[in-house]
Amino acid sequence: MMPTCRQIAEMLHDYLVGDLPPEQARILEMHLVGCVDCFRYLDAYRRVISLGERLPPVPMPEELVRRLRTWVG
Amino acid sequence: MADVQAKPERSESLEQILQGQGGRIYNLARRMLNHVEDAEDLTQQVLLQVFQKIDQFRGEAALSTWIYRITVNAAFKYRQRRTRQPLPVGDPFEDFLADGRHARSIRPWRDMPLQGLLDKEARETVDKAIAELPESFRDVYLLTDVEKLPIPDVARLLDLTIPAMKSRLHRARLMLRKELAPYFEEAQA
Repeated sequence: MMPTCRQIAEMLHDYLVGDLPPEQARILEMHLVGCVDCFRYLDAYRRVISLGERLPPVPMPEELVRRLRTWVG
Repeated sequence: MADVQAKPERSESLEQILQGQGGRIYNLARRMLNHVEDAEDLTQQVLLQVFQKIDQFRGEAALSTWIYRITVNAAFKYRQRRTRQPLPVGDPFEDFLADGRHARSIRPWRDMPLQGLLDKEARETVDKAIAELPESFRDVYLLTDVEKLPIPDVARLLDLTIPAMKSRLHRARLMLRKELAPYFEEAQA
């Protein structure tokens, strides 16, 4: 039985890290071929991971750096 | 900031710790606590703890992992002391109908590179969406996808089983997808 779109959404993490059993991965891919909404949902999910990876660190405020330097110095 | 009387004697080493680890500590504290002054205070507390405990660091894990553990634990304690109301966040699965289909058609996201720096507006949008996640979901996303720690390390840091941690990470990403969709989706023709 083909999974529903919600069930596909629930499997995306395991699918992307290769933790889905091969048969389940094949069924998911068959669903993606026929369901543009799930295909786009997966694409956005991948982009959410990518956005986190590309987020630069929040720099320490200059004032904090100055205060900490004074504190340690 | 914490009491300056707490400054230890070995200021040269503390300076080295500040230079090498201060940015990492502040960055995680800022995003976990979502509050500038609290993050500044926590950074000083953690620097002091790192300095006091550095002799206990046995090199069994990476220094960065050890620092993350001290920062995460300190942030948890900090949260327990404050009484801010958690922000309500929608259930990512409420966008599905009872029969499991999408409740609305999904629009594609704008074409954008998957690598490289984000522009300022995108960065602020993503940071705001992360800040609005419930703390337990924010933590797993920050440590895994932003800080790029391995899943087993994050599970240990947060005292979760690996399946529980994966489940929480997945849900955090789905929540972010939902929150970020209005900004990143292509405009309707």
